[in-house]
Amino acid sequence: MHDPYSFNPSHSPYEDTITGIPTVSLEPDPALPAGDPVNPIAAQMLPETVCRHFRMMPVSYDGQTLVLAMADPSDAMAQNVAFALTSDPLEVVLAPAHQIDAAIDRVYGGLGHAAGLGGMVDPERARVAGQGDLPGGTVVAPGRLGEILVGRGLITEEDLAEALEIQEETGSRIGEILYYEGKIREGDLAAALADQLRVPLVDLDGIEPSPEAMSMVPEALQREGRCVPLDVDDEALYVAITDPLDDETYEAIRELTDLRIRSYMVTRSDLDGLLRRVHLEEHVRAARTELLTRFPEDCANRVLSSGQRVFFISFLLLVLVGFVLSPLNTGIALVVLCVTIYMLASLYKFKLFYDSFGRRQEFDFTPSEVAEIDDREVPRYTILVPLFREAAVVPRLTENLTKLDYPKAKLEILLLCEEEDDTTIDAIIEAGLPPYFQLLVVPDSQPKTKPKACNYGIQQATGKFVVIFDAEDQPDPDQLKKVLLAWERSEDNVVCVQCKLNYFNTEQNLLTRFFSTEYALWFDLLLPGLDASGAPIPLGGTSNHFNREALVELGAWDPFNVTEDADLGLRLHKAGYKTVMLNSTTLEEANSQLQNWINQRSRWVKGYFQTYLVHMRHPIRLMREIGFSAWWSFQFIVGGTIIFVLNPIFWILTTIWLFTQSGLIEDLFPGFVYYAASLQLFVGNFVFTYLSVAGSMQRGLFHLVRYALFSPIYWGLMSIGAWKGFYQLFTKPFYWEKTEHGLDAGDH
Amino acid sequence: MESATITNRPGAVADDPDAPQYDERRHVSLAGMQEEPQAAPVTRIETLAVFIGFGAFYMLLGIRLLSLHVVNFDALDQLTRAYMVWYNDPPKLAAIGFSMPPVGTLVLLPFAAIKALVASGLALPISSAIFGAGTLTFINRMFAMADMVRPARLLIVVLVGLNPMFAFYAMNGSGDAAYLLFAAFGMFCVLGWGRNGSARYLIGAGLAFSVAVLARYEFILWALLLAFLVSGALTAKGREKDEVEGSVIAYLAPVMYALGIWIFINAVVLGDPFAWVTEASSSAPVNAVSSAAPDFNLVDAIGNALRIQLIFPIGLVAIPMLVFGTRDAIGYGIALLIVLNVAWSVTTAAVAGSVDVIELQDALPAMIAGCAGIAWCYLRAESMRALLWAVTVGLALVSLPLAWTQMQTFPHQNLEEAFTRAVFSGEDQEGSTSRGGFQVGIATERAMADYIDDQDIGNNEILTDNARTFGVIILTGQPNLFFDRVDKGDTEWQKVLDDPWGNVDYVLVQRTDADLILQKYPGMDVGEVDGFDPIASNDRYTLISVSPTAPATSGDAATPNTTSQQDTIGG
Repeated sequence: MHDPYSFNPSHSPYEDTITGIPTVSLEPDPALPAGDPVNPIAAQMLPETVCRHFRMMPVSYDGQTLVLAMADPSDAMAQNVAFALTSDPLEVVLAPAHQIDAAIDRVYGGLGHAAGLGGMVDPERARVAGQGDLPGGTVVAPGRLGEILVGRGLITEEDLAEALEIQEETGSRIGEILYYEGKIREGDLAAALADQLRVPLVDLDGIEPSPEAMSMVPEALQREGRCVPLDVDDEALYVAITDPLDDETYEAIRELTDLRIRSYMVTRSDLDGLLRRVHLEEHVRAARTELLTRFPEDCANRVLSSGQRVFFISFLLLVLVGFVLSPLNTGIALVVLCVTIYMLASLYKFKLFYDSFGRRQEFDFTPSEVAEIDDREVPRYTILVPLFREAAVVPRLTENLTKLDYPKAKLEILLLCEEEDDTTIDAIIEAGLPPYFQLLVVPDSQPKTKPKACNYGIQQATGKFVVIFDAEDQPDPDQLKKVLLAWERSEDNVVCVQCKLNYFNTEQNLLTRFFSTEYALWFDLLLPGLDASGAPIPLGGTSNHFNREALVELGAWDPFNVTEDADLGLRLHKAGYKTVMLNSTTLEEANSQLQNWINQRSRWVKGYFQTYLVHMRHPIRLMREIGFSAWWSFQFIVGGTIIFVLNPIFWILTTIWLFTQSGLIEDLFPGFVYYAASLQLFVGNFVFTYLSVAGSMQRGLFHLVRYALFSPIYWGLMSIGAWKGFYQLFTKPFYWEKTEHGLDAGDH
Repeated sequence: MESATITNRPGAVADDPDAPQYDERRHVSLAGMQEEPQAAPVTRIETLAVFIGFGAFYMLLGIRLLSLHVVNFDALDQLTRAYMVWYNDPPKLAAIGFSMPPVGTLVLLPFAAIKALVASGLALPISSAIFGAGTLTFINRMFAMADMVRPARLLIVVLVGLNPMFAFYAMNGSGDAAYLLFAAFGMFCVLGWGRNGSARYLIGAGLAFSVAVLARYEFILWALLLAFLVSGALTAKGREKDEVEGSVIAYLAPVMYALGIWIFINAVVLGDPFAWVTEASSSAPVNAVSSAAPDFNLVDAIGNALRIQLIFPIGLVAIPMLVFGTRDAIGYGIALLIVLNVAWSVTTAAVAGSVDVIELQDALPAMIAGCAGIAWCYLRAESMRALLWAVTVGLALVSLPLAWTQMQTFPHQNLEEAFTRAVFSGEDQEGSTSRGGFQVGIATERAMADYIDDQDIGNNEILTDNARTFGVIILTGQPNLFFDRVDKGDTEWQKVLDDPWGNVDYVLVQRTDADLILQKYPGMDVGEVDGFDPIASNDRYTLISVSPTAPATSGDAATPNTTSQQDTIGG
């Protein structure tokens, strides 16, 4: 069992000695990612003269503890001086004296911050914190960050005490905690940090990075490391970075260039703004065409492939000729085809439901298991929330997502708004959201779909895991942590965890009641059944948690597919990955208005058709890729959507026969076909109605059981939506039928 | 039994009044999902061993019984109907008929689809052997659900399986074996629900009884009673109204649907939504040789209803145990089911106005309820399990000779006596009589079928009342030759009956008043009606040639036909 969310252990140069004091080599080592075991930023925490006098060298600093290499670890005076100058707890390691001397020469000789930065940064704006401009080597010892902030009156002692408590639990940095808890402004924190770390703070407003510098650091590293190369000259690369203590990023940059790195500190929002600005075109292009470029055969940018066109035209011609030559036999053949589809799809679905009912096929964790998670070890998590014309739900969104039990400093909530959607953008800005919420404006481009917005968002995401929530979603507060447990206990190839969905406004009207029973059936019986059988899972629209790296590797969502979630579920499977179900629920808003519901349903059905057609461009290849049983599962679950289009035809035939006893209709159902159709009519229909009852029971929605008995009425509505979606597949294949939210009359 | 011995299990409906099944709308509780582990859960091999072992045993014995001509005519009728569903001209689902509960016929459909199984008659023992053996697997599961260890429960299962009444119905092809299976599954689910409170058992019980009610109408009352049980058990535990209502609906919905569909089909096909009730009181059996029926007498009826319980007295013994021992809704409910079984026999006798409708097989449902009752007592009374087991085994042992004796002596039965004779002596029972007023064997049907097969007769040329002549129809293997009530419905059949001349070439009648054709043309089987010429006859059937044109007096009073020259055929 692997531990997918544990941190990658950094390359540690330390070795334990017999005395228990670790020893360290300060020799530059090409095997080390940075090439040098001494962090130059940490080195600045003690003056060069002090280091030479006491033969000691700061090696690294994690924001709380300073690792200090000493030639004589028993020198208490030296440690007292170091503590007095830094106010930070010390962790002493042993190093040979000559290596310390060499390191002092090497490091203090190489550190520095550009005063002019090639004229790009106004010296007034590139402020070196502390006592004004300091020549290299004359470092004034800073205090601890918390004390600095208290001393400056930016926080109170109580704030600091609370933050320290949280730090004890989460292991997050004190500055981040204060910031994410809303105790301090980002700019003030950055200024204090810059003072503490002796790094110049720069305001990026209006700065245009030089193309030459930008080309030296790939976009991915800029995004991951939250850094932007601003300029470059013969000696150094000038880098703006949000975390000057981020050794990994420095190391990664050093692998790309032999130049010295001169760092500037910037605020996160400044840097993000700059990144988005400079990479705008690249991000937009990737959001629209990443999948199309890399996996064109998996993209729904065209409805039918040429092979499929030939197939369908041939089929239609065959039917036409059949009707001309032998209308009755052709009719019978079509009925046989439909009845066969009904029978097989029904049997398969029934098996899935049966396997799930009363059993726990999905992951399930108890509160005590969740409580055992050490917050200090949880990874960064990104939540993508696509919004479009949903200003009304912004307050609710904030309320729901802030309830998540997850260290806020490790949470990144990206609110994805379309550029044209001023109302929602304004509502978000006016809401004054906590700092872990970030507004991302998705530039205007076609197709204007949710998956494209998510693709744009994932390029800005920094979390190890990423999840989509809709604006009105109410996830279980412990959902993210349960997902972590699911990752931990899953096989290595699991890259997606799908949580269950249901509705908070179930009781609003008959439609929402039906909708809730349908979701109970889908998420509590069918999807767990698929999970247990190892078949591809058509993901639900939200609450699907991904391993971000794997998602990006797959090309993320298909912006041309209007059920990009279902499509992604299959692409994951094709790539050899797996999705698992988790017993954690996100409550959404059930569509309570009929027209709105039909629009939504038409999009779903159209999207399922899109997904089916895309992956059936090469049916044999698909079978090879996903396996025989998964292939059939795909036929029945995704391809079986055609049943909703066929239903009205058979309902009409049955009704006409009931009233007319028409011989023509009887002739269409000879012998065995008649029995199979009768079985479907009398047994199949009831079984599926009853499964809705079972789904409601499984979820504990007892009050909906009586409504579930009337599911056939709901099937009628589904068929209306299906026909609309079927029609749009040919007329407006990429059109995103927007579902209007906020119609729940506050029932939540 | 002392209440102190009653165990408490988290999640169980019967035992844990305070355990919430579901916390909030977003979380499904684990209580309903994580069932209390059984002491000795049933393994797949165990189930297979019971199923295959008893299945083979019943099948082989059933085939032997067939060779000794102990053939249940109700089963033969159902097999014929199932066969006609596939091979009639035209094939019709309506062939399942409406005079008997349809499930007995429906379950034969897969077997009837294979002509060889029907022609050889093997479809009958094979089908009932499967259902009988399946029933035993669920009885085994009931005791496993009660935490009875494997050897202990298997001994009981073997004793039930060897009970001659159970064994007879597990091999004679009648629909009784089918309802036993569904009732056993349903009761197993009731126990599972009582023990674990899991909704899947409730759903399972609903589905099981939805089939059982159309296999034996008595189960309609069982299903309703169990609905009260579900409601009562949940209400007593203080569950929310929604949960009580939802659970009852979930349980009862399939039962109501099954009945609703049956009523609908009756309305559409017969024009009478409740024809299944009225037609269920069928006329005398085809193989009956005596129709002398004793009048209804309440004392006799109660006496007979109790006497038939002697085939498996565990049911009666379980009643006080359930009532005074378990003291819970499920215990009371199961006890009531056994009482209901007795009451059903008495009531049907009262409705029919005769005690002879109380037959030995009417006690079979109580066998299942009795097993479930003992299992529930065993689960609930931990301190008395050894005693309970010993009593159960003792009673099951005693029931072997008791059932055997009743099969030999009880006056109202259905070839049970012939079965005991055949098993005891190994002699062919063809032509013998059996208690209940039956002639054993199918020689007359075989002879007439052979005669018809030898003639050159085309499709739909023989007008017949298939409710009386199914034995001949099935033995010809050619239902397409017959124009029966199934082909185009009773209305069309009646039209041809009114004017057969020129429409059919032959008429096949059973020579009893119950035959609708003979009711229309009395004396036609002996050549007393003009336009009808008997050409072959035996003790039970007559094949009559129909004139191509109607006689002048047709439809009026019968006119003797003195010119007839008919063959007398065997049987």
